[in-house]
Amino acid sequence: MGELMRAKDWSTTAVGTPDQWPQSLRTTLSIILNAKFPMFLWWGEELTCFYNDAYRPSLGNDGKHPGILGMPAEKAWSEIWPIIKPLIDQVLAGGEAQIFEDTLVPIYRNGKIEDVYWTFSYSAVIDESGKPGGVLVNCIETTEKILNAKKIAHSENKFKNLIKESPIATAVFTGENFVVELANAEALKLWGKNKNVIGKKILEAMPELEGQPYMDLLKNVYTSGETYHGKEDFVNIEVNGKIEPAYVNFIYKALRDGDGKIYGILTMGYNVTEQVEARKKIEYNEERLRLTAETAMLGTFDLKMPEREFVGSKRVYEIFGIADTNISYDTLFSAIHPDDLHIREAANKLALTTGRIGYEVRLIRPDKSIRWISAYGKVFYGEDKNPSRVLGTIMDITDQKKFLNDFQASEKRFRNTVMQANVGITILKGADFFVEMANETYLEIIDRKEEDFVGKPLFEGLPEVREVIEPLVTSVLRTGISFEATEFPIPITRKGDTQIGYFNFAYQALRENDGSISGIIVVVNEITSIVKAKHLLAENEKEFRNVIMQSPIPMTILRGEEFVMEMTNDIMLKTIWRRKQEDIIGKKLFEAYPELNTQVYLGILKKVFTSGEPYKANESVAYLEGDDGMKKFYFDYEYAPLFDTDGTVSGIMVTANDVTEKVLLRINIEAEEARLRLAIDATKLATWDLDLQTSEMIHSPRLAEIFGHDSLVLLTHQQMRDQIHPDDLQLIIEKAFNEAMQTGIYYYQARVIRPDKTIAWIKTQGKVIFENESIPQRLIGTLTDVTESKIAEEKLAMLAAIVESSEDAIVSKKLNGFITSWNAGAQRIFGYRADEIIGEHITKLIPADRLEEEPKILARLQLGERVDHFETKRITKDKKILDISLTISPIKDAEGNIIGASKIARDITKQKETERLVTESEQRFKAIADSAPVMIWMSGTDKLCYFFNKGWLDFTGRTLEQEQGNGWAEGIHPEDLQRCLDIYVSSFDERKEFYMEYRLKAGDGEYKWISDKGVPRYSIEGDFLGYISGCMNIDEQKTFAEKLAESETRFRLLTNVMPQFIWIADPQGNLYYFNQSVYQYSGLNEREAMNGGWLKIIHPDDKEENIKKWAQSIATGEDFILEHRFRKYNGDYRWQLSRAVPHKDSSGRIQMWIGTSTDIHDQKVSSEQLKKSELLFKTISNTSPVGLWMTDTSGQNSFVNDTWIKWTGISLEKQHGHGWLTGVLEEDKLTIPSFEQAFKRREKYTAEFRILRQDNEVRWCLTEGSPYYDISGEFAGYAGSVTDITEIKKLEQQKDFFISMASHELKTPITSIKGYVQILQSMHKDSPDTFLKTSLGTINKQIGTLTKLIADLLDMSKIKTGSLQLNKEHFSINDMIHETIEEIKHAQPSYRFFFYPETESIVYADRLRVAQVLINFLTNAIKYSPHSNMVTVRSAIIDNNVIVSVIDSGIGISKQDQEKIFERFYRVEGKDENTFPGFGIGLFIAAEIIHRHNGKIQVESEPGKGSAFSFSLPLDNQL
Amino acid sequence: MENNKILVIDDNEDILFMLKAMLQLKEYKVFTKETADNIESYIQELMPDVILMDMLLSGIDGCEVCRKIKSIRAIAAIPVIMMSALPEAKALCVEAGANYFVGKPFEMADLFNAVFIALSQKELSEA
Repeated sequence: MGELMRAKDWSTTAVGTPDQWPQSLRTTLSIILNAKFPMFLWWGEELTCFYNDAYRPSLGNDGKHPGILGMPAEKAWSEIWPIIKPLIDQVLAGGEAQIFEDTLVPIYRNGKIEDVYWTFSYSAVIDESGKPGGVLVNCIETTEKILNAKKIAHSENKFKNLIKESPIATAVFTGENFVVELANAEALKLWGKNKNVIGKKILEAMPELEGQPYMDLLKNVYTSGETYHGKEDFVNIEVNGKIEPAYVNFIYKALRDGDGKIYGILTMGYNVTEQVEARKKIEYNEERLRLTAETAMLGTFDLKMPEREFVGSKRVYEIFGIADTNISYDTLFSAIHPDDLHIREAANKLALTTGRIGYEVRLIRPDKSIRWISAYGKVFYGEDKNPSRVLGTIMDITDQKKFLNDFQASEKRFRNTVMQANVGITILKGADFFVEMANETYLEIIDRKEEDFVGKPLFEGLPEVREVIEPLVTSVLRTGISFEATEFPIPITRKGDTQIGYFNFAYQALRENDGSISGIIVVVNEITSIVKAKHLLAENEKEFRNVIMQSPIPMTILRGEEFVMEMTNDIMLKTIWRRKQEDIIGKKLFEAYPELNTQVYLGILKKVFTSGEPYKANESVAYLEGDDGMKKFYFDYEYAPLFDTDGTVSGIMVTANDVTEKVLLRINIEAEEARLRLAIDATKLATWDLDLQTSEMIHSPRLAEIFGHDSLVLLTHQQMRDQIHPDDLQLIIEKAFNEAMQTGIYYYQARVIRPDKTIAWIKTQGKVIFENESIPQRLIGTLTDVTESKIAEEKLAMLAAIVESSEDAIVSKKLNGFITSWNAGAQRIFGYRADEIIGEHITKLIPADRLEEEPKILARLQLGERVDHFETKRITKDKKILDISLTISPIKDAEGNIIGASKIARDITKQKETERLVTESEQRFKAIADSAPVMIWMSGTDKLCYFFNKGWLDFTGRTLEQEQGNGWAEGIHPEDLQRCLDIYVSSFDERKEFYMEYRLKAGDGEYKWISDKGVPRYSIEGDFLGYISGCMNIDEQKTFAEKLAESETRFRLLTNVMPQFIWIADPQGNLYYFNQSVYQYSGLNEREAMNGGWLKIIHPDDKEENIKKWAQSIATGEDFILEHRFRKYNGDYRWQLSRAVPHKDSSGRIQMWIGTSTDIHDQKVSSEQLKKSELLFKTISNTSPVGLWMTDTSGQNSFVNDTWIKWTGISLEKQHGHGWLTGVLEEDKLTIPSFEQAFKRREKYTAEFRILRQDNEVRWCLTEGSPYYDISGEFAGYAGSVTDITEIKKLEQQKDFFISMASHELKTPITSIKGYVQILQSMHKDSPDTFLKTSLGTINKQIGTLTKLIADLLDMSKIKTGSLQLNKEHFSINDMIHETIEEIKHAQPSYRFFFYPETESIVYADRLRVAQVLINFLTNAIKYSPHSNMVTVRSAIIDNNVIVSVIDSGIGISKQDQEKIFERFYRVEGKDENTFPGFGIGLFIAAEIIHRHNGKIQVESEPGKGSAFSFSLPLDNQL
Repeated sequence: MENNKILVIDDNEDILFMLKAMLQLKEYKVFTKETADNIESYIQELMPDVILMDMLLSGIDGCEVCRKIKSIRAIAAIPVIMMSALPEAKALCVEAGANYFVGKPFEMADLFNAVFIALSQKELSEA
């Protein structure tokens, strides 16, 4: 300023140039210019203006400075001249100095007139004349201070207004003693006080609070500053001099001064007593309803009709099996079974006339289970006469339905299973064993007709069993102890013939409900054929054994568990045992040859002995000590078990071949081969060679391994192709193949599916070999397993894709900080392209002020640590600073060394920005408003709302931005909006308070009633600022009254709709409420019932127990449950199940008892019958030695008995549907005939399969099942049985095996003998030595006889065991006869055969077997015609059968013999029986063969004249 | 047809020797083997005109051997006659690809016939 002053041209001013200035002015100016306070001086007549540096800022920019320096005051301060002129004049007139504080003196600055506040003083400056020469102004501008003060006042005002006008009780307590600073009218009303309390300490104002917890709460809030929310707190309040209980919702919130120190407490609260009480009452009503429904196991519902609004209790959804209770009515009821929809429709129709609806239908629940429900309801009609509402109940009646169904099913099941199972069942009653029933199987077993057996004493109908059976059944009847037997022999007369039959059976006492024994249930399974088969096997074995001992194969028989050497044939003795027969026979094997104890054979023999399974091994090593010392052998040997008649193993047949020499030779060769193979296997490479013409493939064992097989498996080309992944077959392999055909090079990588379903990747490289350079001939190549590298490759590719597609920047760097990778996200965020940045140092991205971060991060990485969500700033290519969240992880190499870092960076700039904005927003008012338990909004002078507190936003679930302006209107219920706007606008224009109620949409989408009380706001200056309003949720209040009435009605309506009896009793047990059903049923009226009349309807027999139990429940509070009988109005009694539960209040005191009674009469009555029938069925089915099963009408398994469960170890539940198949062996599941097919055709079903029993034994089963029909003749399912046929199967297998091995062993030596004889015959056919030739001829003939004998023996065995197989074909019978005759002629050249074929005829038969019959006839004819040399053969067709006869003129057969001639071992015994050698089984076999062809065999003969044997076969009609 | 090569495989030494003697009557060149070990390579080397083989060989099922022979292109065309003393063996052998079957014990004539036919067939197919 000094400079400015010196530079100024003062000549034109009133004070003149400085040299003319008086000393007083100079002195004053010097003080001013050096002062640090703002100062201004007016001097001289014109009041010329001076001011200092400190004053300058007050002149603002673009204002008076520097223009007013030296200007006359009036001109310089023209805008305020009228204000300051009088002040200046007063000072100049010799008045005292004037001081003004915070005075508004608007001045022109900053380009406009501004309101500026000043604290200033005017004082006179005396000049040389001793008079005031000028006026000095000391001033401070206080504009800012004043404005701030105004703002605070404004906010306080807003705050006080809010409190005053708040529709809820609001008060402020200040100081440690909680002086009531402020309290609005509502608060005073809530407290029951008047304005006198204001200014008093709280405990003086409200002494009744002493001792209540509120004082502690207040103190706590005051010290901790934590807000306290009280909800429905119980409080005692003095109202009109009376202390009354009340519920309030309130808040205590600390008030803080500018320093943040707590100086008081804001409290807001409102009385919710009415609401709470109303709600409690409703809850009580609802609870009563719920309990009633729960006690009766009912779901309740309320359906509003046109809008189909459905409200159901929890149980309704439970019954429907649905968790989501928001599901619509139509969706919920779409679960009704389609077949039952018509039931509901009919019920709906009926409801139109009766007003009541009731139906029973099935539901299909989401889990596919079916439930029966009953629905009952009352229909209400609207003004339009259409149904408007249905109230009703839903009950799950599946169990009842099931019960009745079960009852019927059980009866049916009993009848069917018992009658149709293929076990015999009979029920004997009383001491004389009166036969009450017997099923078909039983009648079949005993071969009696029903009328001859049922309804009579057992031993009258079945006298032959009396001796054996009577003691057993008598004992069971007397003691009740069951009797079970297996393979029990019983004599039975069947088809007139008494034979021993073998049976497994059980006698089980039949008990009545009272436990007394009234009879016996007999369950029988006949096993005669099994037992007989066992006997037969033993017999067969004996027949063969002797023959075998003569065989040239080394054999020994070991007997018993100790393996005593019972027999041994010569060759065995000589070659293997190498001791004298008498030294070893009768000795235990392991004592005679102790060295065997340490070898494998003992264990194997024992296993064969216990399991009954033969064992065979080749090239087994053994050391045996013979008379010639210890010798090492290689054997091929076999251990075959020998069975006793009872089927147990009694010994073992050992056959052994010494193969030592052979083995030694081979071992050498094998060693060579092994070396070669090793060389190939050393590489993991598989090799292959494909013939392209034939697709034949040769490959190395390694290939099979790669394909997941044992290396020994040889795969065909097709098999390999079948294992290729189907997706790769065409796309990769065939493509590669086609290319190979062009290029000659075959290469691909593809997937193989191994048998264990794992995937292997293979790499194949091959070469095509062309013939003539054009035709591809072979493809040879190698194949490797590349699964591991393939998996690694896939993983890598996936990771790369993730990195590239990430929104985040993913960057990796070396430990020295140089960037090594850069993804697309990084480019997006930082702006650098990968090629620009890779190789650059990471600090390129770090702002200069954050460079120290990098070494810290690196240090952590080197320790192997991760850096997670580190928020920092980074710099982009275009120098923008971004907020970044970093996550950095170390990168390790294969050895685990840290070699770098990967960095994920996320741009969080925007997020940060928002955060900053939020912090910057106004806090204090918002905080208070937001914490208030009410909803607050404010509008400005433009009527638009600009503020909504947290309470409002929480309620509407919207954001401030959505609500601002007119956004809030979207939430007002459309019906209320216009009314509210009208009230608001009209009040606004008149600046009046308003109160309105409207519905506002809450966050959950539902409208809630709101009260809204608004008051106009004014500034301190009285300027209108807009409105502030407080709102409250009054929805509950508004609806409580409505709801209360409704819940009462609903309770009455529902209970009356319920089919059950509902009754309510007080805690003392007095019944005071009954629903309509009670009155209807009993015929009692309300008065009669209330006064203990209900006791009169209880059956006299039940009364005592009823009173006792009820008293007990009342005394103990335990649930009351009782089955008792109630008298109906017509005098009938019906069984009811009554149940009552106590309803307790929160303190656990019983308030009432809610009881229900359900009619269980039908169940109760039928359950008695059911119990009886169930018991019977259970006893029978579980006694049964065979498995029993049933299906339902869809073919699903619905029942199996304990026997089957015991076998399979699978519970009944798991057997349902197709569950029974679980135990069946996988391979058998594929082969058993389709049950579905038989089921569809309602045909009998038979199947054989194996199951894995729970004891881990595999057993053969035979199942047989047939359809059964219910009483009305409707198909009801299948019933069947499962028989364990393992033994039969085993025996069959053993028999077949034994027979074929035995015949093989017999035929082998014969083959070599016969061969040598024929060689000799051939060599000597021209020899003159007739004796030699005859001898050889005889030997050959005898061998022929022996061969025939063995063949016959074999056939015999097959016939006996039923394993004779026929290989049928179509052939001409006449051709066959011709050929056979030719054959016989060849052996019997001296005989003449005459054949008279009638017509050419074709049969379908086993040609060889039929020829065998004819040969038998022809050889017999020759044998028994010693004095004739003529045989005649005829063929003829009679009745569609071809008949072949062989006629001789031999010795003939007597009538008596003719009857037995086709039996086993029968031989016509003439006087000279030696004439006719043979086993006598030829005709037996012939007869069997013909019978098996459904043909007939017969003989006509007259002794001395000859015989005619003939057989017939059915003609084949299909040709 | 003399000098035709016949390979006989039977693990019973007696029968093997007998068959050799028998076939030598017809002046066939008879080669014998007691086991089926390495039989494929042996056959490929020998290239017999007929193979006569027992079904029950020690260590391996003759049917398996037959199947293997028939699966190797180079030797599949050699007729195989199978023999067995087991009842029901014929069906198994035919199923395994045997060209002929002779049941044990057999008539010498039947064996000769079988061999003769087998050789004829082979010649025919090679012609």
